[in-house]
Amino acid sequence: MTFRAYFSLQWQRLWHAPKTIALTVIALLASLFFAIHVAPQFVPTQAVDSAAIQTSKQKHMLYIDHYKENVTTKPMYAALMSGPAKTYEAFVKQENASLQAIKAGDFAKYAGAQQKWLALLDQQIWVIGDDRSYSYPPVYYADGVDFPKIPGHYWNNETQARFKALATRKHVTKAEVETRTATQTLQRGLTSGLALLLLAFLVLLGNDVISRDHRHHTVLAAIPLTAGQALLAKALVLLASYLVIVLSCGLICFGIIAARDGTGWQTPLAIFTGTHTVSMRTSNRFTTMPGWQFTLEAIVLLVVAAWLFIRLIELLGAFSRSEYVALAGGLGLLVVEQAYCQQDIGAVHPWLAWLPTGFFDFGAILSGYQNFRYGTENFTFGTAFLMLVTCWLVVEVLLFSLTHRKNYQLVR
Amino acid sequence: MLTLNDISLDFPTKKQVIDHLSLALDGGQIVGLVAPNGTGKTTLLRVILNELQPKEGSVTIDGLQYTSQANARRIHRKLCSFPVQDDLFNDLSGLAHLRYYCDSWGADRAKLPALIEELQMINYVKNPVHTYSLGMRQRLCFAMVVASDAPIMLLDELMNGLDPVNVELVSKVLLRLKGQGKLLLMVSHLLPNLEAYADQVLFMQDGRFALTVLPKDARPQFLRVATGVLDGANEAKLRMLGATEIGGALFIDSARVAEVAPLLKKADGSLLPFAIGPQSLVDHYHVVYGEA
Repeated sequence: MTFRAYFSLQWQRLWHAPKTIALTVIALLASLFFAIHVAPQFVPTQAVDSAAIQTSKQKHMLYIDHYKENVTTKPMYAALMSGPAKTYEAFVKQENASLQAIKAGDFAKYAGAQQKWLALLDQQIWVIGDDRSYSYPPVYYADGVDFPKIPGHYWNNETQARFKALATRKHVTKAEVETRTATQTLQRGLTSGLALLLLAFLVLLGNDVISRDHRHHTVLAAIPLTAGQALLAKALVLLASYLVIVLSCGLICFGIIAARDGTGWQTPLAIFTGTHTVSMRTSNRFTTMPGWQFTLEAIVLLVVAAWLFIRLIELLGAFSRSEYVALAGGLGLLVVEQAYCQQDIGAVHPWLAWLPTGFFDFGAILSGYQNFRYGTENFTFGTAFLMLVTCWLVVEVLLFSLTHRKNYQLVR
Repeated sequence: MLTLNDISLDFPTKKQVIDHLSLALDGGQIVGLVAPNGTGKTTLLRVILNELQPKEGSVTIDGLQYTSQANARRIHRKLCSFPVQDDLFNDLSGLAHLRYYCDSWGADRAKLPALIEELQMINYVKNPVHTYSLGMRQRLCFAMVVASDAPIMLLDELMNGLDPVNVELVSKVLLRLKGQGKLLLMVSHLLPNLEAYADQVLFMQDGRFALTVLPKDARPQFLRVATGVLDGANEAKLRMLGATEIGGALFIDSARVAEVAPLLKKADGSLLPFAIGPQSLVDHYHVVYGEA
């Protein structure tokens, strides 16, 4: 009864706090802005674009025609051109297939042709190496990348895996090919840092979870509840409120995108299974999972990570009695790994892949991109779950030791 | 019910705020705690609540001591302290506060409407607390403690900010709670009010109980004459008879009224104004703490 009363009071207080209201409004507006304005403007790397395919085909055909003209008149010259000409014929075959598929509105067939086209492209760039006349699309790269082939190869293979899976399906939409469906947008967002942003939002929402009680000392201090029980009630309030905000904003955003481009529940999402980049030469290390599974796994990891961070900021707050320490500690843990792993900063050692900080970006883990960054296979849904739970247990032991001291007072 | 066992407490800046203080109190009584500001009354309540830990001694409530967090929780189920009105949640309603205290102590919510009516809070109890006046907030704080239905209630400066009508209203509730067997430990500066309903009044000085007054019990009777009423010679004679001056009045044992009566007689045979009765708490206050 006391626990429920305390939970109820903390719930009411949290939802009356101007900070909670402000953060909720910001999250809601940001979701609407993203769903209505930003998401439709997304430019896919492999857009369904007849004109672009036609241009590429014409370029290839020009070379092939030139080769054919010289076969009889300049056989020596033509011999030199025969290799590229054969390659271009292979490209043109897939370009024709792609164009026909677009015309027929058969996007499964289109995906199959494009996968083969991408495989040819990758072979020219990755396998042939420096002696190449192709490059991956510029959007594959980030500024300051020292080894520009690798991200391009990664994303090429990612698209191939996706297209290969799409090609096996009976009905495929243009939105699925262009990764515009709601689950695909979710995957893209989570891989690009949304997961860390969601956890940072939680830290902002709850950093004063302990210190805000100081102003109400005499109302809260002598309630018949142990410090541990009070902390648990606060944590549950924070988790419930956080999930209400995040899931409702997420649902609104998801709903708008789904209404426009489909949910993508069954759409295969490409997942990098992970290894060292060198091994990518020999095998495609991508697999796929349906959108619903990715969404489900993302929600599970979000809840586990959120619970870990709630207990962590409670520990920092209970120990320091300062909302600023909880804020700095929570945000610091989220950005430290990102800062370290910025390319060209520091060295990536294998043991770094086992640091808890690498497991907070659960979006990158689920899509496999974290494995790519670290050149490892460590980061999976299972290991992320175990690591987050282990960290939570460590935090729980520390909280227990702190709050079970004889005269410890949560509010003072 | 509540026992303080030889409690001592020092602050870094002040030694012996509480000095080997012992006390045993049972339920069904109102106990007043009186002392000038800054002499350890609130500190003593905080020790009882375990917010401050004594250097020596212990607090025992129904056989339980603060030996663990679990025990602290068990003890806190048995006592409820009066909140400071500045600590209320301004955005929440009075009713939300009452429900919180009621549920936290496992009391019966069905009793809340009667309590709200008894303390005349119906008109504003559903409004947010930031709309309340000082007196309304104070009444809410009291209602919260009553809503808890805890066996021991620690009431620090309960009557502050209350007008005479509300003082009377609150006093009636206090008497009802006492009748229910609760122990009400009250810190108050409203001594006449305390005198009216307290069973025991403890005067704290130098960290100890300097004086215990039982207002309800038979107490020594005194004849009381205000200073300046008698002429100089008669006043000197009264002092010679053993009268003591406390707070602007001369007191002498009522057993000596026959010796004093001639001094009070005016030339026309009538008597100068005087009173016979026990010394009031205000008088005791002056005795213990001296003149202001």
